[in-house]
Amino acid sequence: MNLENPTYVFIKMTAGVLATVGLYSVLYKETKLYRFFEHMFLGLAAGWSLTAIWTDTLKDQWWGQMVGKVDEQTGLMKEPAVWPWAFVVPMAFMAYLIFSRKHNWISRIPLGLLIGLGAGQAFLNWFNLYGPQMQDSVKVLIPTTFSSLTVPPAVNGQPDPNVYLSQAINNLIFVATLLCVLSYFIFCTEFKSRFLKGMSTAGRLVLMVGFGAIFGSTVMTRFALFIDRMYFVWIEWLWRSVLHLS
Amino acid sequence: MSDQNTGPAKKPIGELLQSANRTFLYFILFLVVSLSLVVTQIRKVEVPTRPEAYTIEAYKILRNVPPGGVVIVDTGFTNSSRGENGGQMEALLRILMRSGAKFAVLSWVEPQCIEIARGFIRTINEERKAAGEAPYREWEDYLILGFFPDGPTMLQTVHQNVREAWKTRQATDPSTGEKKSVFESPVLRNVQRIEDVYAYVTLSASGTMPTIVARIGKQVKVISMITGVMFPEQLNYYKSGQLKGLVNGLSGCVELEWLMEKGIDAAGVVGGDAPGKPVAAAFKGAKNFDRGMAYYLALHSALTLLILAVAVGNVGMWLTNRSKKR
Repeated sequence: MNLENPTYVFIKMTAGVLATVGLYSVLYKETKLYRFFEHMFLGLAAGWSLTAIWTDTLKDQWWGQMVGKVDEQTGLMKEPAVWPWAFVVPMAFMAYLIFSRKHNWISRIPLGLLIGLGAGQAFLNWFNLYGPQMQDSVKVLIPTTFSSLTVPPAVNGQPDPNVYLSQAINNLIFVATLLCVLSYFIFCTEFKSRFLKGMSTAGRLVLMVGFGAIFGSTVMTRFALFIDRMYFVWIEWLWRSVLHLS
Repeated sequence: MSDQNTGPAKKPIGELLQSANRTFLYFILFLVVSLSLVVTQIRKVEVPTRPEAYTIEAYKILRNVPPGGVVIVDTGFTNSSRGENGGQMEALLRILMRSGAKFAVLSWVEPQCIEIARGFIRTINEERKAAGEAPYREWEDYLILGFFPDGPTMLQTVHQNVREAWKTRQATDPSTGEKKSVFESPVLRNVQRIEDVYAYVTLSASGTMPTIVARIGKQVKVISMITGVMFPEQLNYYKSGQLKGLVNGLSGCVELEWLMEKGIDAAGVVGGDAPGKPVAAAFKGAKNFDRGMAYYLALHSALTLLILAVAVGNVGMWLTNRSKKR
């Protein structure tokens, strides 16, 4: 099938519009129309994933290596077959024994291997991930220059090494916020001092401010998804494909 | 004396304001968004924006990829976040193709991501053909490395030996019609180590970036293009220098389009005209505003509606509380 054929593209887009309307009908109430498109969407995604896992991964990385490659002209082996790859099949099937009451302990072997592999990597990469952030939390709190209160415009796009007053204030707010939030998560002892109690309360408050900012950002994503669907229906389908407007 | 009023009890204004019908609100949102999109389409509305420092850094890196330089595009989004990642992908492809960079696409989040990326490459290639430019050719200019089901392990191997990590990946050489190793392609021919790659761009709707940064973040410049949901978490990685650039959701996409249109002059000013070699030049006269700008007015309208609804609800609550006190 020619995927670029205009008729095929139009049919594909119209099906997309119907699916969009069907899925958004849940906003009115959960109808059979919604359930139909929901099931179709999940079925298509599962089917697609299965095919892609074979074509993109298993075919070349497992089957191809296991059976090797024959040169079509000479009939000789171009790449040797690595038969031990066959052992991963029983290994994979061992995971399915989780459904057997008698033999479910066997499923722990492949699972354990995977967890071991993941844990080894996590241990190795933990510092790469959080080390630079911990290092970055140590901020300069005293300005190195008072030539300007705020950071002057960059010259030739190069960063200025100086710390200006506005930056020092910013750093102070950062460090205070960090310490307050960390103190909120100390559960191993009871805070008796008013200062520490205040820090913990302030930590809770700044966390809420942070969650509020995250919520704002989240709303943008939800709206963007809806806007994209409406753009698809009104502009890409109706405007361009049906009305043929530019 | 009995109550003479037999009709339905009239709701006080405060309660009325707090009990707006949900379906009605959805309908208003539908109208506002639809109208904004159509107005943008007819009037070609360009909402001005001021790019953030992290978007500017991302643009500086991408705009300065040398011709022939290799960029890895790690796509981790499906149609569920096309509203944000879709526009980012289009902007990224336009920048790379116009700069003459070579790129390789891979995914380890979801098998559908690769096909979705192919769709975007097709679209931008069509756009190039219509503008009289040469389309990007698979194998020569870009590669599809495919889907990797175990991303963390693949990236760990990339950190140690990129050739080992992708050694089983093949692509069709159009000159012979034969499937060959991706390392025989002009795209990856000179890549011996991951350090030979100019940048690694991840487009995702989920938290894949830390997995990348932890493994190869010290070897290659990592840029993250993400949805607004993931942005607050990822900002920490930019601040600590682990990410070299960041594009935040739909607003980040618009900022990227804005930078493509305006550029950054020699003095580092966006849209400035200081003499000298620009820090990151604009693509003058090319199609820069697309999906991001097309959605931006609608986003502003929807957010205004949300703020209005929150304000109305709060006024309603205040009125109700006041009447209760009386």
